[in-house]
Amino acid sequence: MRWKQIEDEPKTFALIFETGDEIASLLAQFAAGQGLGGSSFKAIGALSYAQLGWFNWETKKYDPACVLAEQVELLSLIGDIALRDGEPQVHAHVVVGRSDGTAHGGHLLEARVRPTCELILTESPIHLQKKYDPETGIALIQV
Amino acid sequence: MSKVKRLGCALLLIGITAVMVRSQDTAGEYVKPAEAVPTGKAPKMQVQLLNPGEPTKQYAVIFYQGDEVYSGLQEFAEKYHVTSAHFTAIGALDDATVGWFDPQRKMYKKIAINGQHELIGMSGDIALYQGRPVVHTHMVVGGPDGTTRAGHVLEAYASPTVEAMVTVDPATMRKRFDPATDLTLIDPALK
Repeated sequence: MRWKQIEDEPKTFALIFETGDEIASLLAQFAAGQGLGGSSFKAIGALSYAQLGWFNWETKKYDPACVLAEQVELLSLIGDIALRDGEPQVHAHVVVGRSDGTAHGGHLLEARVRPTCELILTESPIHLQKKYDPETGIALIQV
Repeated sequence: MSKVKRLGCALLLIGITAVMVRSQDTAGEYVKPAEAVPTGKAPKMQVQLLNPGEPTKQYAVIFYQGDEVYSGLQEFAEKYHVTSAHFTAIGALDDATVGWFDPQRKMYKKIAINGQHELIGMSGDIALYQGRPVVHTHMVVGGPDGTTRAGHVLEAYASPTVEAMVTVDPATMRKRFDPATDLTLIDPALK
C-alpha cells in the first residue's frame, strides 16, 4: 500500500492498495501510524477474497456473513475512524459484486486486493470517541 | 324503491368500496415523492462539528437505538441551516423501508426490510427546495448471509448505531420541481 496526502484543509489522504494487500489490517496500521481519530473514507477497487460480517444482536458480535474466495468488484467501501481508549478503531462496510453482477455486503472483516483499491480518507482536527454504551452493550461513538 | 333501483344502489356501493380498498392498497404500497417527512423520530441523535472555524464544515451525526435516520438527517439539515451538503453513513438497522421509483406511477414502490441488517452503505445529498433543506439518500443493506437489498431511503431505524459523516458546503444548491416525474431535482443553475 502506498499513500499520499493530497490536501491540507481538510486533511485528505489517497491510499492505493496493490495485489495481495489486506485492507482492514493495513488501514488500522495507517490509522495508528498517522494518529487518526476523526476520519471518514470511501474506496472502490477489486478483490480476490472477502470475508464479510453481520452484527448479531443476541451475541453483540459479528457473525461471518459470507466468505467469497473469488474475484469480485469492490463496489463500495465506506467507513470511519474513531478513538477507543486512545486507540484508533476502523469501522468499515463493503459491497462487492460477483461475476454475474449480484451483490453481497456486510461489515469488513477481511479483504484481499487484486489488482487495486483506491481509498480517499479525510481526517478532522476534532477526534471522535467511542465509549461503552450500557443500553446496547457495545462501544459506540459518543459526542 | 324498485328492485332495479335497489340493485343499482347495491352495485354502486360495491363499486365505491372496491375503489376505496384499491386506493388504500396503493397508498400502502406506493408513496408520493413529495410526502412530508415526520420529525422528532430521532430523539437520541447527536451532532459534533469536527473542524470548527472552517468554511466547509464536517459534522459527525450519530444515531442510537431506535432513532429513525432519515427524519433525523432532515432535522439536522433544518437545525444547522444546511444549504448544500453530501454525506456517507454506515451502521446497522432493525427495520427499514426503501423505495423504488416507478416512472409510470411517478411514485416510490415501498420495499419493507424487516429485522436486523447491516447498513452497508448510505450516501446522499442535501439541497434546498422552496427555501427548505431536502435530504436525498440511497442505501445498501445486508442480511445475515451477506445478501444485499438497496433503494431510496424512506425510513431506517438504527440498531444499535448509525454513523453519518456530513460535509456541509458554504454554497447553496437548489432543487426545482420536475413535472415529468413529480420529483424535485437539483438544478445547479438555479439562483
